Amino acid sequence: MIKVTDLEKYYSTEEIKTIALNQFSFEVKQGEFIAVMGPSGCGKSTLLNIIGLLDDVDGGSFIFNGEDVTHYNERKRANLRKHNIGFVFQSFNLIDQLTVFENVELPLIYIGMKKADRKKRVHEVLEKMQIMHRRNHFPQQLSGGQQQRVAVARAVVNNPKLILADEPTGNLDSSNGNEVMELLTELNDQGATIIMVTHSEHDAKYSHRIVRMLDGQKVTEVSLV
Amino acid sequence: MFQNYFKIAWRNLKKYRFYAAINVLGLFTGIVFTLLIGVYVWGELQVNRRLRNSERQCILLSDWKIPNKGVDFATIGPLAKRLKEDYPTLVANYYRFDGISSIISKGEKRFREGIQLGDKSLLVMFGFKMLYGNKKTALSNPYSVVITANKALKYFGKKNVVGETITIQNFKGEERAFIISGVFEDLSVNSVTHLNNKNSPNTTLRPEIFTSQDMCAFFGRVDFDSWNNFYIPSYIELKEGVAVDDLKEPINNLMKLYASKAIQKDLSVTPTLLADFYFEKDNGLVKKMVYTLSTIGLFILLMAIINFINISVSMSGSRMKEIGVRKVLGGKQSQFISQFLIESFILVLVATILALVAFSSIKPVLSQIVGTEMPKLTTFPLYMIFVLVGFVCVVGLLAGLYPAFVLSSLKAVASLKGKLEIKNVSFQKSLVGFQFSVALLILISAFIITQQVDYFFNKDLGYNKDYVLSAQVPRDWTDKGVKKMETIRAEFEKLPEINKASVSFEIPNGNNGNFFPIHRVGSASNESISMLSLSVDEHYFDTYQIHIEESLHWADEDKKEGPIIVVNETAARALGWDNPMDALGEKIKIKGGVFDYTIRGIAKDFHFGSMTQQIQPLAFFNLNIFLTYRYLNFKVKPGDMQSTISNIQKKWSQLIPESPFDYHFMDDSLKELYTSEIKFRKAVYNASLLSLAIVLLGIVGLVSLSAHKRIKEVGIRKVLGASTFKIILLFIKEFTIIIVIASAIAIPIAYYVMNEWLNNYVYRISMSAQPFFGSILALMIVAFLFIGLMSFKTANTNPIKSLKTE
Repeated sequence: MIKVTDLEKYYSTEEIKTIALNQFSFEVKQGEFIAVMGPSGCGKSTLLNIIGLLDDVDGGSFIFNGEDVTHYNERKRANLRKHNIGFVFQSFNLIDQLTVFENVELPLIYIGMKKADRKKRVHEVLEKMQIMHRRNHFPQQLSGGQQQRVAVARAVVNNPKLILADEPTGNLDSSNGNEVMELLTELNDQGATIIMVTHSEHDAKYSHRIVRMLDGQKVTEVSLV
Repeated sequence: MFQNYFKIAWRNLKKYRFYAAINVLGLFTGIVFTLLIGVYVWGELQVNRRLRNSERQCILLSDWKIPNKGVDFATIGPLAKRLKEDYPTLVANYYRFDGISSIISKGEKRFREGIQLGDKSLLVMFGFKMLYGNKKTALSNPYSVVITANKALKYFGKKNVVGETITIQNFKGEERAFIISGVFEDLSVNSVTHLNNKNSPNTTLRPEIFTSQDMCAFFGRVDFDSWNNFYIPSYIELKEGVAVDDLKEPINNLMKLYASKAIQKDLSVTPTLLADFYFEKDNGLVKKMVYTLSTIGLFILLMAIINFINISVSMSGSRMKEIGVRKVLGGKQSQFISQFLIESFILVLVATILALVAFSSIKPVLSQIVGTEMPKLTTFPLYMIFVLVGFVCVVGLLAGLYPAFVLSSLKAVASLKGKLEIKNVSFQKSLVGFQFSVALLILISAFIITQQVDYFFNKDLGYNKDYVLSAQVPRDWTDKGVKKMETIRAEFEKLPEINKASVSFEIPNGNNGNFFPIHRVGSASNESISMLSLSVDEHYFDTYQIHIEESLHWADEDKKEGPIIVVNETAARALGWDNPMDALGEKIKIKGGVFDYTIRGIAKDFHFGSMTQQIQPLAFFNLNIFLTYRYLNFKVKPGDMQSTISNIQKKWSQLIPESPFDYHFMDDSLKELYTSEIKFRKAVYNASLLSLAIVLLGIVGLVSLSAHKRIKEVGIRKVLGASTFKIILLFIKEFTIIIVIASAIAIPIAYYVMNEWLNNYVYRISMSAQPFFGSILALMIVAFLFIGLMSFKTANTNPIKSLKTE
């Protein structure tokens, strides 16, 4: 499903050039659950942003679903993104001014789904995530665990083929964290491909394969199945 | 999708209600002002437009080679009539009038009113609506008048007064009943019935009583058929398809046939469309006012829009996450732009609605400033709604576009991290700088205009205007009449409250009628000088304390050496005496006249008219020779003015019972002389207050946002030992540089603009540094005070709290 070859990404300021990704290559198959690990600043998040089509690359190639998307412009990337990719962030990134229902509904608005269909689909997902009773609350009225469940609900509402999770349990206590990991596993079982960046060895154990990174390069790749 | 935008917009505004309020308030201020100015400009554009066939109506203007020989807005009496009779293919109709003022009475009610003696075509030519009476026959009978509904209410308390009578006095004091044969609906502002006093605060003499020119004999006026009467305002309605210029040749032809050689040589008559005439008259006063106010209004609106832009962009920090998330979820840039634009539209709409609500309560203030009754909102045509909607769209677009582009073009990843990377901080700063510049420009102008207006009132006028008042008297321009008036004058002088009394035709208010070509006896008559010629008695000089060399008594001197005259220094020099005193005892004469006048006094130069003009050559003629007078002038003693006035009033009703004591202090007459300057000063005062308010709103917004952004920095500085004052200085420093640069830009512009304005005046102040530095200092003090107040809270917060915020 995903094939990146010799990916390169630099960040430069006036004086220094920082290498975020250095000749990074790897492949992800449909239905896989991958954990990406490594110390802070090793390039994990950069990798995730590139795979999520949020950032462009300075070198190498990126094949998504058999299509070369390396040089896609912002409009094409946004289009691909909204139909295929769901995001879960460490800091939830819910929009404070929207209710739970409206937050989850947002991706469906962007893909142009009809209002009645949207309502049905959002309710389905909220039921599944067990936060239906909170649908008219605003994010700041929820606990961290509940917020992350909303974020997951939002990530899966349009049935994306790929879910990208950036330290999804980083802001949660262990029991809430476990709940979220169970949820991701369940989604993976239902067919979603998941790439998760994490610091937690515990969370990484939920995955099929652990990719370890250092200084923008892949160091090891361990299969857990 | 749109529903979602509105929802988000509304919740955002609620969440950041402080900034939303500042934004709305700023926009509100700008929009109210723009709206008021818009309504004023529209009102000015409507003048004359409501006349029937106004696009084909013109006024005949006179341009005299000898300045001041006649007035520009009137022309030769029979000209318009002849044009219609001799060129029926060009001219559809004409109207001429002679404007006078006299005493009208009904029962106990007795007032001085403006009256037009004119052609009967008035009834049909301009489309004035007649509420009662027959349009065709209303002025056919002698001693009939048509009045406005307004005057009908004034005298009768009802509108339908056809068949009633009012009494009108002529200048000799004779009274006569006139029958009311028609009632006009109240007249909108136009150049036919409001020809001269449109801008005058004294609107009581605006003619609202109309009678036929057949009544000229009763009022002792010269009829319109004399080719030597060039004081008749004349209007022409052209036939369809005829251009104004097509009249030029016919006018020239008629002048050649009928006018005297002298007039042919001196006068050229130009037909001018009424619409153009209104804008161009008085040196384009209306046009200048419309342009100046429009410019100020636009700039103030621009400042409000800039506030909006700055606050929106600065606020974007708190919107970062939302934008990031939306981008991640696949939102397109165009969608963000729509969202931000909708937010700005909502704010502009709210501000506009508030402005419309506030409009009616603020309107009288502007009416007063511009000295024009402003139309009510309800009198506007329906299509104005679309203009208003268009206005909201344009302002919304201007205000929302830049923030929309800046915010929507941020990178998704960066926005998610909440990094506000607005590269163009200098752009924002220059916008604030622009605001300061405009505010300074207006402030400096207000300062200088005030200085100049003060100068008008405080400069030594060459005579003493204090405690002088004058009132119009009935006219009996005969030997007997003058003697009677002199007796009355002497009676008044016996009052202990009165220092001096005099009779004259003119008062020094610049409102002069007679100019005569005068030359030295013995020199050629073509060397004559056009001189403003006043008709006064010998007490005039003492009343106004005009200094003259050699005291004189007209009457005595007259017998000895024939008629004598007083001229001012300028006149003496103009006649060729380098030292004015050398003119004493010399003889001069009116070109073509019989008398030789001996110069028996030289009056020190004084300002008879506005200080926009040089002091002109002036001749004082003896009232006993000229036999014309209009005013009694009193120099009263300082003290209890109320009892002084009431004592004069009592005496007046004994001596001149037929005329009301309608007096004006010289101070007030001078104010009328400088009406446009005083109005302008008021307008600029208000504009500086508004611009200052908007600048302060901008400061409030920016400082509180800057404080919000720097909260961590402030915490760290405080931990490291910075005092509250030091922290406040930090914020002040940000703005000091902006103010300095803004001043550097504003000063030369203000200097240039104000110098141009001052150049309109012959007698003007010279610009000093004071208005410039005073304004900058004032702006700085107010700005710093505000910044101090706004940043005090941040500076005073416990550093632990501010550090936690991160």
